[in-house]
Amino acid sequence: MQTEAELTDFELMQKISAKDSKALEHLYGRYSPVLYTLINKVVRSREVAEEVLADLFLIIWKKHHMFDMATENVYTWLILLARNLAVDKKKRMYGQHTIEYNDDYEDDVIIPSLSKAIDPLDLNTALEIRGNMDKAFQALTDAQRYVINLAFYEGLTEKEIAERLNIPAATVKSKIRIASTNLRNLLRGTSL
Amino acid sequence: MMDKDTAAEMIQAKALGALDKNDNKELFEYLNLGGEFPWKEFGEYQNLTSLLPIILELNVPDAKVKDKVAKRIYDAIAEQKARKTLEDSIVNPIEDILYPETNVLGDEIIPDKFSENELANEVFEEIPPADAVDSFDDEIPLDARGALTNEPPIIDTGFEIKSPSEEYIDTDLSLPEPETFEEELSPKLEETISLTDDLSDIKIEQPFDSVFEDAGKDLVENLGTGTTPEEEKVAPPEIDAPIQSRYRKMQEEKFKRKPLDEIPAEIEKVKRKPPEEIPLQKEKFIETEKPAKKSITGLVVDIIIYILLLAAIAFVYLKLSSEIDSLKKELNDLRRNIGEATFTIKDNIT
Repeated sequence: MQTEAELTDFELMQKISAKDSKALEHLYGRYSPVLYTLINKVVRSREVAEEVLADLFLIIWKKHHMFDMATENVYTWLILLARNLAVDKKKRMYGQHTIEYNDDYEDDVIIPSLSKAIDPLDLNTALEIRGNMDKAFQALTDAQRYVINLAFYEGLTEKEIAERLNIPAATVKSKIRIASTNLRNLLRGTSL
Repeated sequence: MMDKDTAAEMIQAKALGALDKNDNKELFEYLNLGGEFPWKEFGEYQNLTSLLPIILELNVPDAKVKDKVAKRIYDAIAEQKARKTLEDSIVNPIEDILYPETNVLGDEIIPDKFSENELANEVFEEIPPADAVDSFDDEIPLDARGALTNEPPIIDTGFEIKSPSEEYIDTDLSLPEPETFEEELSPKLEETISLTDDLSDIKIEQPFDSVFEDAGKDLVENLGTGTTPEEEKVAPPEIDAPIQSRYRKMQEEKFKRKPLDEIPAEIEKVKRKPPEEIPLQKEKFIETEKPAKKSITGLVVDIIIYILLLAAIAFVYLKLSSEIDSLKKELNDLRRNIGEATFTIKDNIT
């Protein structure tokens, strides 16, 4: 019989949907380093990151039905969920968010909606292409990396980035579009 | 209205989570209206974005975070169970909660519907959080039932428990009260005793043992000869005819089967009285209990009391009458004084 450790991310998620808490434990063991690192990068506080990580797994447990099983892409769903939750936490910490955090808000804003046409991706694959991804990212210009950092880790919108950098919003939109496309192309050139 | 190209230009920012609020709203409306959107490309950018943190130097969270996660999951499960129990209690009749279904041993039968949330593989069982116990109070069946009634759940033992009034009607289980026993059976006992006295007069001329021995001999002889020896016949014991008939009559009376319609009345006589009637009966008994005869001492005491009372009354009468006389005298003196004073005043005026 297959143990939880041998199960794929998607199979674990299926078990979690069946209220298998052991599967959640294995998912935690598998994903907590990358999720914790991401959250910590966003909130820049170890204690807060731990809190957010605990909140994140509670959401996974309670809102597993929000994960679209058809995508079979647990990795991207978890990373984007962790990023959204961490950014929300950070903005609340600094009083930038006054919207009430409730179930509706969580469903609409925090829990990501993956594209129906997304390719499956799991943690193992992500770790395999880690080196290539690093190379592709380092190949971007400083400005492009900076814009991506501001958008993803700081949680700033295009308009907020424009205000921060004191440049037109259209320039920021362009920068983001070009940086993302370049990263995609660089990664494709290396592995994908 | 957003066009296809504008929507396509937004996919990178949307995947990064950097889309402005207004742009996000417009894109949402566009997609809701069934606008074309490069979903495949958008999916690729979502995957690309999710790969950004993989290049960071990964750190492992503190082990206590796992405990924290486990605690939150425990709490969530407990909350879910509590909510479900509450919902069931609203849906089910209140009797189902107060009188839970039990098996023959009296243990509450937990419906199968709870098993799906039982979570036998409780979260992270290797590291049960020390403070998680409090959050699992609902593991104890909400003898909500017990809490509501402050009594243990009623267990159906199969025995029918009757109400007090019903219980007293059940003559199979009732016992006669001591006073009822005396009232009803004492006369019968007395009759039995008197009957024994009467029978003491019966004269038996031959001991029973010898009678049986002789009868045996006769039987053997009769079987052998076919004749009965007239001279050796044993005379039956002579019992007075009136006594016999009286005894027989009493026995018949005693063991006579009573008509069916009289049985309820008989039952009524020996029926155990309800407890609330017993004090009333005792009161009646106390009221009707009168002293048989007053003793001479009692009479003397009564007479003395009467005499003393009369003396007291006489003393009071005399005392009062003397006081009345003295008051009358004072009144007369006052009248006299007033008359004299009046005359004096008149004299002065004139």
